[in-house]
Amino acid sequence: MQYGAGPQILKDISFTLAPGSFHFLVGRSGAGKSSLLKLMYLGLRPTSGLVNLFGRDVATLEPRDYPSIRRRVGVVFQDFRLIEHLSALDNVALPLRVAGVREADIKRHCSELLSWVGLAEHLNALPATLSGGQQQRVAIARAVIARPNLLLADEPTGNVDDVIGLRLMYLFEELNKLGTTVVVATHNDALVSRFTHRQLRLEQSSVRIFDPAGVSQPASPYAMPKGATTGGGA
Amino acid sequence: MLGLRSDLPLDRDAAAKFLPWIIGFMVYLAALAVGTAMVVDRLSANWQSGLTGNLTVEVPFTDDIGVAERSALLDQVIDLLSATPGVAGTTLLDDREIARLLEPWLGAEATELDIPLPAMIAVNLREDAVLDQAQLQRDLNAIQPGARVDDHAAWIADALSFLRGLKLLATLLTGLVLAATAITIVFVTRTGLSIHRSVIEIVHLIGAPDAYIAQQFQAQSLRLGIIGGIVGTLLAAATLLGAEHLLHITGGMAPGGDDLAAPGLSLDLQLLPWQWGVLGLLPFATALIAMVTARWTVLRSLARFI
Repeated sequence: MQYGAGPQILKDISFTLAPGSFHFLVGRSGAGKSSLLKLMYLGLRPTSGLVNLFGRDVATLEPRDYPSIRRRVGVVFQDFRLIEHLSALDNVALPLRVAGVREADIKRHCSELLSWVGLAEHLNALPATLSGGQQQRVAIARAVIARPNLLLADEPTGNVDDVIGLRLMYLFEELNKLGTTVVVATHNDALVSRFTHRQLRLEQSSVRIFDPAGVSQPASPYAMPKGATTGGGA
Repeated sequence: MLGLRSDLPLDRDAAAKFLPWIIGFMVYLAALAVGTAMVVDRLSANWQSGLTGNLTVEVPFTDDIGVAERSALLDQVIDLLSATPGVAGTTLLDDREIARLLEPWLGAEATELDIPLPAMIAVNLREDAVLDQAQLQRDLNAIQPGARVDDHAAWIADALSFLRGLKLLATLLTGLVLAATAITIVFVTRTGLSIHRSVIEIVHLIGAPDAYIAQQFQAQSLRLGIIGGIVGTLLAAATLLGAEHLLHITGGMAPGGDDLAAPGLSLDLQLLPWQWGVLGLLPFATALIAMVTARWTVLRSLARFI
């Protein structure tokens, strides 16, 4: 992957995420965690190499195919990217509205989820009136409301205290148990070490999958291309 | 389509705030132009039928003619006209009526001037009349040399070509105004797209198809188009009624007035009910143009987004 004439990042990496798996994405700041996530939610197209999402080669997708794929991916952006003029509830409702869900169901589901993440009192609050941690929870609620097949979270616990951070991680685990493939990018080692999930470690020119339950192993470029897959490229 | 909920705060954009005003102004102009075109269309049709329905026969007399001789000659002319196939009736204009016709040129005392005035006979024709005007002219000359049949053809043709020009101009103006409206919508929509680029990007990443985003712009354009359009059309209707009323009270050209020198050439500026209906549709047609333009602009622009 390369931005303009800049240096190449995410060079020669290759890995496969099995459907229903849970991975931490770890690596130094600047290692390319966010770029890797962008490749996975179609926020970027690879300058070379193969990215395979839900069994489809991204390079062969037409722009009109993007919406249906993006709707299967929930993203928690590092900078939240909440829509400033919409209430917390309307921000969370967005994926459901885009998917054409009935308005009555939208209201019910969104307020339930927002209550669950502790924002029952702030349903109608605008993002600007919420604290960083509250905004982050709105962003997470928006990412998970439509039960995506793949959840990508970029530093989702960066702005919340440990208690809420753990609570959010449990939310991700709940979703994972329901079948969602989860990737959580973080550099919070303490958080990573509390869980036994596998880790995608972005290092200089490779990605290694570290399994706390077993031994560290290089990711196989020939893994089964089911579920969300991303294959390395220069 | 008129969804009140929008993910994009389009109504807060400065450009969008002016949109109903711009559309109102445009529709006002378009409605005036359409109204004018329709009035002119009706006038043309009226005048056209005036051309085929009426003749004026002018019989000049020399100074020295006696009253009895003059009236005998006129009787002869009227008999000839009445016997002509296609003629429904004749009216000999009396001095007062002739004076009225001459008033604009010779002043109120025309009949008191020492000028021999010709006799004027208004001839009404049957609707389906096919008149041999040349033959009639020859027959008239046999009775009184210098008698003249005037079917107003020359000046009605001039008037009609003037009306045609006016109608063309009004139609052209309507087209230009609607085109200007569409261009305004393109401009406002593009501005909206760039102001809200970041929000559109988020909505895109959440999986919204371009049509979902276009829907918000087109709903706004439709709504503002209808509001501006109705205001513009109402103002135009008031202007048209006002103009007609003004012509009414300034006299001279009273609606439906039958000017005997050019019978049938009424200056009736009233619109028929169906023509008011056409004007009533104008705001909705404009709003529809606005909506389609907004949708087209968004889809075309978003094709260049990721």
